[in-house]
Amino acid sequence: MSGLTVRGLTVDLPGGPRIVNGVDLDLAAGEVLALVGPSGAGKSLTVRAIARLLPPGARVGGTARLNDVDLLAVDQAGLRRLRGTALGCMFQNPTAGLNPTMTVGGHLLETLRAHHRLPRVELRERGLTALAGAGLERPAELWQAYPFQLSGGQAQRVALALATACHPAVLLADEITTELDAVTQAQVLDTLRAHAAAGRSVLLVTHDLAVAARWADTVAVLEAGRVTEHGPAAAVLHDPQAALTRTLLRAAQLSSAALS
Amino acid sequence: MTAPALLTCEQVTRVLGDRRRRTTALDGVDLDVRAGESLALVGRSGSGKSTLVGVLAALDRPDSGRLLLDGRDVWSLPAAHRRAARRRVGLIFQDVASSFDPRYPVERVIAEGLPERSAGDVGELLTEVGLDPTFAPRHPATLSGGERQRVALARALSTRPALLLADEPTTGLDVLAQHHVLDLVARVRRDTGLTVVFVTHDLGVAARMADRIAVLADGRIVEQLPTGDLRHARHGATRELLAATPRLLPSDDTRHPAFRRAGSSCDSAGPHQRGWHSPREER
Repeated sequence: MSGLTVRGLTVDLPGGPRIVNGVDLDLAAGEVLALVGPSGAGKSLTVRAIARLLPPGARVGGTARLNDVDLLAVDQAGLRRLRGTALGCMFQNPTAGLNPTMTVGGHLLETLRAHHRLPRVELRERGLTALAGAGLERPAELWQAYPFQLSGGQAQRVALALATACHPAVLLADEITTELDAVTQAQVLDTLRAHAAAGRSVLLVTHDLAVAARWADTVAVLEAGRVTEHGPAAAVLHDPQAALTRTLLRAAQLSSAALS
Repeated sequence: MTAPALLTCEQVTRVLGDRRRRTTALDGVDLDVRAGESLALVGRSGSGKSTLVGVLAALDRPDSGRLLLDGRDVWSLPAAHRRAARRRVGLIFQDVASSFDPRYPVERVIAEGLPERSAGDVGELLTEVGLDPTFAPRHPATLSGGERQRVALARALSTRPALLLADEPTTGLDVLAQHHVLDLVARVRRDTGLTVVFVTHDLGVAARMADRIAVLADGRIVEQLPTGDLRHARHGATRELLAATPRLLPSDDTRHPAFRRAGSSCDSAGPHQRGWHSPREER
């Protein structure tokens, strides 16, 4: 299984400057790539461009190849097929992506039905497996729960279950643990790591370099819409070449150093 | 360490909810905040941190127990005295924008609590938090997250409080903005001798900012220790937070087992090269 290759990605928002300005990324199967950088560097727009979730009017250039398919070039019908089965997405605020009037099970059935013609019992079985695979205990009880009954960590795990229910090759995760406490963050990212270990590629957007250090294999540093550094996490975080990476690291190291 | 307590919680309990569903958010909290110290209150989501902030700010009345400020029981004071007492505590929050009136320019936001303050004082406060006095006529919407947090700090400092209560003030800011805000709070504390209570779920931030750490779990303070002794923490809740907090050090022994399985924590080869199977291959 090959991974995701992004070349020369550009994003222009209507009437605005070019925010993403020639991004190249290489993400192998089974790898967690952390996309780091300060606010406004273009991290989220990069992810949204790859997921084809940009606001109307945004113009995208370049390619994002997954198994010889250019995600940026497929038509709407192709996109519907790819979403879920090739590409799973998760965002910072998971409850915003859940329908408040629909149970957890309802969400999973809806997602699975879009890609599989199977009896309901079998869809439910797959949904329960996805919940368990997202690290949720007692999936059968959770099946009946509504979004408001979930804790932040549970909601993000339900989002993970939805994103992975159809076994996508690539998982895009944009600041998914920013609103979670440290313990829940570790649990969610350990689960994400397990998905990578099972062969999935994970693009993890984070502004937290310590998160990248602990959970990513490779790191790409984004600055003003360009990748200034891209390599193994150990190399980028312990021997940074770009000035911005050094600045970010110095800032983050103060907290790490205080802990040891 | 023998400084007198500026703020004391004595057996504070707070029960939230209605008749049908009740949650004991604070379950007998005993805590001393000593004058001049920097104390971090850490705990997981739902541990009672935010409820305790409301109690410490004398905004939320405990169901039982006492809150003492300068040795006086805040909730047995006449209302006017209690209002005056509240001015001894400056507050900054995580979601700064929501505490600003979007129609007010920065100068009005800062001077809101103190109508008698002159423009010169606002300029002085802006300079104190590292903002140019030309920020005074700007509106919150035109500011970055870090700048808004500085304005919030200027407002909190405008009453010249004895204590700054900072509730997750850097959560949601990016690493650089976070660094600058933390640096600023540390500098203000150095310059003014302000007592600081820093509420956070991030043990790294707590360790950087505080002399002492109090750990909250299930509505109780389960452990208090000097920051330097964190690694010798005994309570499960503290150890759990410690283990979950990622670090940026070359020999991070907290990394996920998947890395250790590869034999090295600094392995440059991706796990895909290590013979793991994809779920599709297993089917």
